[in-house]
Amino acid sequence: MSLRILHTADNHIGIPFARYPDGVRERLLEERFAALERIVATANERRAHFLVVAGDLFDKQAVPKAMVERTVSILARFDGEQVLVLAGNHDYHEGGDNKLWRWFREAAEGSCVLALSEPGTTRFSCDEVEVHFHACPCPSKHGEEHRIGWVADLEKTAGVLHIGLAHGNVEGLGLDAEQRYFNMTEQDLRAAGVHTWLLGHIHVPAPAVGTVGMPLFFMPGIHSPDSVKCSHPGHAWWLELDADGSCRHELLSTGALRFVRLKRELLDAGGIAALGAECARLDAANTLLDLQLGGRLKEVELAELRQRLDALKPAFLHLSCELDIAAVLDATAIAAKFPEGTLPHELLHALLDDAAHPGDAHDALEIIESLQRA
Amino acid sequence: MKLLGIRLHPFGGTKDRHVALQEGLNLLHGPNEFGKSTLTQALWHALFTPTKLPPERLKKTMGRWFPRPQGSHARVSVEFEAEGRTWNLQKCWGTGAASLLTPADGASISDPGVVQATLERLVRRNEATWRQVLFLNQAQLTRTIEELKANAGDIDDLQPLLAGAAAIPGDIPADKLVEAVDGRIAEHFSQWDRLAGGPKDGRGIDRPWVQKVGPLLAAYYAMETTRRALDEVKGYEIRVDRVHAGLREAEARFAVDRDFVATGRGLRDGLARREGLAERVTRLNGEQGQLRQVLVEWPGAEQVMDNTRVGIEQSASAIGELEQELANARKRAAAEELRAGHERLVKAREAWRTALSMLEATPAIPAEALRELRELAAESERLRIQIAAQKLSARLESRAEVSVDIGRGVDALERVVLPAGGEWAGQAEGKLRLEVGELSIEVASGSGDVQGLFSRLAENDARRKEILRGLNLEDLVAVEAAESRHRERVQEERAARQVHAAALQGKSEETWAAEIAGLDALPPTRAVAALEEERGRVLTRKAELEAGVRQVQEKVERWRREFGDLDALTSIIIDKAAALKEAESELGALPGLPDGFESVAAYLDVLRVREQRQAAAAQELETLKVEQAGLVAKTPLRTAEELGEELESREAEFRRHEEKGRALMRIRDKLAGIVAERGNVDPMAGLRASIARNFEALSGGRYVGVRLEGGAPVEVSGTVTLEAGLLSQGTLGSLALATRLSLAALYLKDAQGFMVLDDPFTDMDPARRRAAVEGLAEFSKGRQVLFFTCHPQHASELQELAGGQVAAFSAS
Repeated sequence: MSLRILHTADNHIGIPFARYPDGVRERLLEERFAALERIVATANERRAHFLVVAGDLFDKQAVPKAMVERTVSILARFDGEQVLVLAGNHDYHEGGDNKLWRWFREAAEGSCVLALSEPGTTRFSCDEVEVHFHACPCPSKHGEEHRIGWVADLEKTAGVLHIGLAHGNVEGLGLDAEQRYFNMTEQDLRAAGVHTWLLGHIHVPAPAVGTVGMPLFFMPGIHSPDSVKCSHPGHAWWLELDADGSCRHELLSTGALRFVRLKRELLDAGGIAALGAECARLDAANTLLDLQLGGRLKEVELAELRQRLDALKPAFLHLSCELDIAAVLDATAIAAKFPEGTLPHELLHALLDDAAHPGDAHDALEIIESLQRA
Repeated sequence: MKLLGIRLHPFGGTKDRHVALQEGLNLLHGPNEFGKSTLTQALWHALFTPTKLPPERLKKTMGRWFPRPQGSHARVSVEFEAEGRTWNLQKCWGTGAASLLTPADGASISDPGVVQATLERLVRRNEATWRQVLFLNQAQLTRTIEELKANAGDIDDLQPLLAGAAAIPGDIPADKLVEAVDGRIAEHFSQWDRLAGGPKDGRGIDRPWVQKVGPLLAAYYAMETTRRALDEVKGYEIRVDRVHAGLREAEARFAVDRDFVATGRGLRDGLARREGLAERVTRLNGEQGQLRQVLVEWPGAEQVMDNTRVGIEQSASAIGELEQELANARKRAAAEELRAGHERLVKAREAWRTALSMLEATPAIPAEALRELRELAAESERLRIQIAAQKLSARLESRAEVSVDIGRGVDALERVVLPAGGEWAGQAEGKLRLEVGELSIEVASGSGDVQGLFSRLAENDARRKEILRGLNLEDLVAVEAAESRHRERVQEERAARQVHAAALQGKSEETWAAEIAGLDALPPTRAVAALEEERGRVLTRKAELEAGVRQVQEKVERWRREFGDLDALTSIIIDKAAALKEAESELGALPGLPDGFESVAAYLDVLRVREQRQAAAAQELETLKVEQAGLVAKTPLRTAEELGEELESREAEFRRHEEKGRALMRIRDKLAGIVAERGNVDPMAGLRASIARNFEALSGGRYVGVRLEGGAPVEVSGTVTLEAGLLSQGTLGSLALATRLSLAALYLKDAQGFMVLDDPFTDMDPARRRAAVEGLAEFSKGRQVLFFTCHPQHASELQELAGGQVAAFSAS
């Protein structure tokens, strides 16, 4: 028999999304829960033995109690053996009476949800498979040293599936130049002597899809995108592990919202049309679109672009646009505005000649036109 | 603005009339009083006079336009195009005053202020410009130059229109553009120190500028504020991490001792009891052993004391004998010294006696005699010196041998034998005496009392001899020697006497004699040292025996005090044995000492140390928890991740503003270069040329040039050069018209507008008028001109040359 695990991490429930307007923010907050619900549902559908949350279920320690209770109630819907929730570096457990984890335990009492906020081994036997989870939770937000060292010193019972649970950076996979996030090397992970590690912290999944054999570790990435920096739809790992070390894994998509940033240089109506087509292909209702548009357009084209953007806005969940487009300013445009021999004509031409600073002519034009308007 | 029509209903003497207007030249002609001034004024007031006026101003401004005699209001409607729309303007002054401006496709504006503000925008030029340039009536024509100079500050600035010699539409004067760029730079870098690359005066976010904060500084403040917030949050997180690390460490320390202390606290009482019992057992064991020892020793102690006392007595007897022998031995040792002392005494006594006899043999010289002898000797010596000082020289010659006794001074006579023919020469002191036979010659020195000296010398000598005879001594030297010997003998006798006294050693001669006589009676003895050594040994032995006796005696007495007697002691020993058995039994039932400890005390010491360590850890935990609670209460609202993102955005924004600033500087530099190259181009040249061209035509070529001050010509040149004020009224009118047309061309070049001319050619001769008409015809191309005239000739000329349309000015 195989042991079936659904592995998620970095859910960051309670992330504030403060920069978004109220309605959008509420949708984003809800999506954190909704994605978790989808994960639990998938785990149930696939009859997972375990649902593992490898840290950062919550975005911070200071989340409201109601949010904790709601999260636990979602996890408690898991039909399998146990939900194992590891303390990550955002929802760390420093020891002693930690309010977040006290609330969590109180809410989880009597359910299948188990908080792993202290280092230790939890043992299970499911469908004739004996499994030991070695939990290495984070005791703080930052840590110069990883917390997995003790696992290497454990005597590993033969015939048992040993799985490490940890949260932190894996050298070479994530950026942790200052080594502040419990940085682990592959050597550290390998030295622990477990069959595999279920990790959290890095917001992109690993290993690459198609990896064969038993990977040293799994990193699911964030379960639903939280910013434009997240280019994937949100993931979780589906794992089927055998006691003999064989493994099948599948990367599941778990998020419903997408943050999309389109950075385009628009130079003509064709560019505008292409942009429009690109936007049309997006799932607008579930997309937070951030347009960063540059380039040069004729005034009429610019007006058309603005019209299109105005039309797009209501369709998208959220649309922000940074428009750095000036009207085309070339010799013809200058001549149309300022007859040859005029000072603006001469100045704008001189500025256009400076290819290293193509924006200078536009800045100058803006000054000239504001002077004319005055 | 292009006028489409105007309706007066009523206005002045016009009850209700409408004039339709069109592009280009509109001719409105008719006889005097046909109402052209009324129409001009109606148009003016419609555009520039608000309807909401105070009564006084209303009366002054509009009163004359209320219909006579009882009219209470005046009303004008104007249709026009502006900003690509058609507008309808209605204004009513007086009773029912109202303004209504209605765009063709928009809502009406009825607020008089807003209507007026909107009109100001739509007419494009200010009221002064319209008055001084674009509305021209006949009466004002010749005052044009004067009015332009007087109102130069009120009319719209010509400079923007004149740049590029004013002939190039759309140009901007360099100074205006430079000023605008400089203004933009000043605004962009407001309160920013470009050299230092930071806020002016270093005023960062702790003491920020509030006034005139430019976009660059605003972006900088926003960036730094976010950076500060991020640093604070990071600092907060570091503090939280540190507190948590401290908590974990303290908890670990607390946990290290937890089991040991918990176990130890349970054991402490039992172990403390065990320690007391163990001590009691040890003590009872010791006491029992001691009592048993007493029980054994007590009976033999009495016999020991008796035996010892015998030994003490024997020692005392031996000591007495030793003392006697020692006394004799000391006396014998002392006899040798006595004899030696006695011999020294005998010798001293003999020496003293010898000294005494020698002293007696050396009588003392009376001191008076010795003193007198010394004085006599001194006196005689002085006299001899005085005598010696009076020398006499003598020479004797004898023809026959003769014996002569010669006495010189005090010396005795000296016999001198002179042979025949011999001679003698000599000297004498004081006197010379010669005796030859019976002859005696004495020669004395003639100075002083030589004889007296000799006499006193003789007396002295006699007295000296007398004293010496008394002393039985020969001379003063002998006397001095005798005196010296006597003193020596005295000293010798005194020394001998002192030696003798010392040899007596404080005893009398008789005592010495008795002691010497007793020496022979002493018995023989051992040496003093041997006797003293033996006595010491015997004394020590005796003291030891006495101490032993005392010790045993004290013990026995103590035992008696403590125990009474041997039976009582036996009972005590039995009781102690019972107590010991009981203590040993209880001890066996108590918990054992944990492994690794040699004693309960050692264990309890360790327990105490670990309890203290645990208490310290607990205290530290408490402190850290308080700190943790404080930190939790101050949890930042925003996370480091959020602020990090925001900071990235702020930094990008700041960099954009920095680049914008650099772009502005490049624009300024480029502009400065162009302006420098354009150098001396006169922006007024175009206007000057335009006026000169118009005026040349109107003056029939008499004048070809003008000099301007501001926008007003002040001098004309051609066949002659004249100040404008010196021109004839007709020529001045031509110059005014030329100027107005040039200025109007400037003001209307970029804006739809119109010009109103009220019979401007009245004072012109036909030639000038023709030129003026031609100029006006040219001007009216593409511009709307309302030309009022009561001169049919003027109207026909205009219609002929300019193709002007006659506007119907009729009742509607």
